[in-house]
Order: sequence, then structure tokens, then C-alpha cells
Amino acid sequence: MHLLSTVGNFMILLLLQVIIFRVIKFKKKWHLTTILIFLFILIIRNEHKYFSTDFFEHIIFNLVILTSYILFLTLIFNGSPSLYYLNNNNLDSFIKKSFIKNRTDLMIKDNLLNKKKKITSKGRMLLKVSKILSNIFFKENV
Amino acid sequence: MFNFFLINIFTIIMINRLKISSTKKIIYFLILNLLFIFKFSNNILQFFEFLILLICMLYLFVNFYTVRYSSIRIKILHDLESNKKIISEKDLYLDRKLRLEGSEPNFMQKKLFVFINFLVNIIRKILI
Repeated sequence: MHLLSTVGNFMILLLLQVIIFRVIKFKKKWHLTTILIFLFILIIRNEHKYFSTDFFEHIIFNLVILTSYILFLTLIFNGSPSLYYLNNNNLDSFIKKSFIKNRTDLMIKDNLLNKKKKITSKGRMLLKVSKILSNIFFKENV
Repeated sequence: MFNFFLINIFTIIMINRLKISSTKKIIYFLILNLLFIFKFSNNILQFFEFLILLICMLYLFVNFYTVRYSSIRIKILHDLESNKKIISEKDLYLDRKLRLEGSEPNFMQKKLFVFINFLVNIIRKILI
């Protein structure tokens, strides 16, 4: 059974995240910090024989939950315009929040756009990959 | 566990090929995989393991959808590749207004965002 040890892993992760994000106030590389802490917890608390079936099942179960959790955390750390609108639907404050400007700046930093705000080859690749993954797993048909 | 993980991937790929709305795809995916869970769970702990895996897998699949149709980054990249002007802050506001106050034909409806907002507020209070 993987459930109880996984719940334990995530409780420890949450506790360490509170210490790092709230007490130490280190939030810059929150996704990388979360992944590293969790991998450390996973290795330290592993009760299965390495490379056994149970070990791989445990890793898959934990990594699927971790991936979902990190995607969820992007809503908290990066912000979501839909959630912002839900909490405050005033046009001026929405514009002041500068979602497009912030994302554009991040895209330049991540080399998805160049400094002249033109799409780079990395940006084109991301666009293609997102379309392919959506076509395979979940797209709108109607 | 690994088999159920593969079943999740296989069922979503198959359901995604159907010419039905995104909401129906989610419903079919859940019904089919819940049947698997009820059939193959040996005890209550395994039932919850499968259920958690199912919810997380669904969340990941839904993210492939939301990234394509709702991500600001992808929208900006799409606009630039089609030689269009980048979406403005006001356009984004109007788009979100339409989504949350209009009647969206897909699953991204106001009640879903209200629920996500509730979870986000809890985790935000804990972490930040």
C-alpha cells in the first residue's frame, strides 16, 4: 500500500514548504524547491527495495500527485486572471495587475520571445508541443 | 497501480477521439475509470489510492486542454505566430468576463472556478 506513506510524504513537504516560503521567505524558485524537497523526502522515506515493482509503483503514484500539485501551485504563485476576476471584477484593478505584461516579461526571460517580442524557435516548439499533447489527450471537438 | 495508470492514459486517448464535448469527455472518463476502481479495488486503502490517482490524472489531462485554450503564454505565442497583435490587458479582461459571466459551452464554467478559488485560498493561507 502506497497511500499512507504518500500522505506522510506530502505532509512533510507541506511543512517544509511553510518553513521555506513563509518563514525564510524564499519563493523565487518555488517549483524547483518543491521538486528537490520532495525527491529528497521520497528517497529518505522509501521503504521498498530499489528497482522492484513496488518501488516503481510508489514512484509513479508520488510523481503523478507531485506534478498535479505543482501545476496547482502555479495558480498561487503565478496568479490566474480568471481567479483574479472572480475575486475582483473591476476593470481598472484588473488592468493594473498587468497579467499580459508579466507573462510577456517571463516569456522573454524563458527565451520564448526575444527582446523585440518576436517568437523564438523555443516558443514555436512550445506552441507545437502544447497542440500535439492536447490533440492526443484532451481537445475540444464540438 | 501501474496498470491503472496505463488504463487512465489509454481511456483518455480513446475518449479524446470521440466527437463529443469536453464536458462529456470528462464524464465518460470518470465513469469508465470509476468502474475499473470498483471492480479491481481489494480494500478501502487501495480504493482511495486509485481514486487519488484518477483525480490527479484527470487534473493533468485537463491541464493539456487549459494550456491550449486558456493559457496566456500560448495565446501570446499563437498571436505572434499568426502575425497578430498581442492580446491586450482589456481584451483579457473581456475574455475572462465572458467566460465567468456568460454561458461557456465547455467545462470551464463559473462554478468550477469558484471551487478552484476555494482550494487556492486555503493553500495560499497555509503557504504564503
